[in-house]
Amino acid sequence: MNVRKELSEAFTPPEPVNREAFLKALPFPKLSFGGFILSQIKYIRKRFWAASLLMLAAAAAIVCVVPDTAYAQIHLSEVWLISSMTPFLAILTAAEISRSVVYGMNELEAACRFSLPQLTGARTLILGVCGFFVIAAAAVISGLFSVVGVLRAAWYIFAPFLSVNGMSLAFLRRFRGQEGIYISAVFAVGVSLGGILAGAAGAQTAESIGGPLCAAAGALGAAAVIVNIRKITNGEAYYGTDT
Amino acid sequence: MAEDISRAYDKIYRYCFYKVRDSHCAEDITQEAFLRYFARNDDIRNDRDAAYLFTIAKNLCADHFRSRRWEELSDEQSSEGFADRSDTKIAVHTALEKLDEARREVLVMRYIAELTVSETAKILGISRYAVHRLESAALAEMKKHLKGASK
Repeated sequence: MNVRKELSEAFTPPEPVNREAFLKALPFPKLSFGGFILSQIKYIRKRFWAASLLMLAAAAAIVCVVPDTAYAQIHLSEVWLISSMTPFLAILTAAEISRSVVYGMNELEAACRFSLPQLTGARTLILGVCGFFVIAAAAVISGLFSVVGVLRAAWYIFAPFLSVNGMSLAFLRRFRGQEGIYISAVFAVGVSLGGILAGAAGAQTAESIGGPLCAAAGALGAAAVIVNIRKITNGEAYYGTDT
Repeated sequence: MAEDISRAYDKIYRYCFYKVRDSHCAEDITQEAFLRYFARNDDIRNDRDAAYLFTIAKNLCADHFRSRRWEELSDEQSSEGFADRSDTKIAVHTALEKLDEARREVLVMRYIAELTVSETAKILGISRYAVHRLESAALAEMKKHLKGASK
């Protein structure tokens, strides 16, 4: 006799009659939309905030430490160096968005009020806004103190972030468990190395090859981010990761 | 409606049904537990808060027994809990009642309410290891009782 099976079956109750109506009408304190968004911040892991601050600090340090002595400006190679750090923030962002939401009793409160797509959407919004500000701040810091200007610096810095973010989301949806994060990490390292090599290659080479490459990578990355976030928030099958 | 709130409702309902053996009563207690929880709390922040919700349900079930006279089940009396029961189910019920309270609670939470080991540990205020230990011992004892009953 299978005791476990018999236990489960011995006390099977009839279906509850009033569950749906009751839960819809449950008078729990309602959050405003803003309050709901802010309440999701605590579910984002500290490593993301730490990485964001670290990246900003590194960009500021590069700008402070490496300027051209004549004009107190950094060159394109330093902009590429800052750009090469963004893939690591991107992979953390993607991992946080894709992190499988363990809907046990831990998040019962949020589940009372909002559905899974709303919760995922809220966290994506927080991560996206924060990531945008970090990258934008890095772009402004490096652009203001570089020979290339803010817009071009932003172009070179956003592109690897978007491409790694987009591809990481796709990998995390496609591959189960840790596999997705390892593949994303390899891709991020590859993009980062590409940035460093572009910086070392010399200004002309970096401009002629890196410029169009950045444009293409940035556009594809942005498209991949939009597509994958829509699929994740729609609850389409993905494996995610609990890392 | 979020899937997990329905699952939590079902888990508490199944637990209450085991305790009170009446589906209407079980549903009333389940709903009362949710109402009482959200009357005093704005949030469920962690496992401890969620376990509190389950504890409210547990206490309400205990109150249900204290507030009514306990009647011996007789052949004339039938409730949904005992209607249409096979011999196996009666044997399982009898074997379960023979366990001590700690072991019985663990089995009820794990296999009737279908809680995870973590959830059970938090609700009972014991470690996960203790849940595993009690569960193994309880299942072994159940097997012994059921073997004895089948002879």
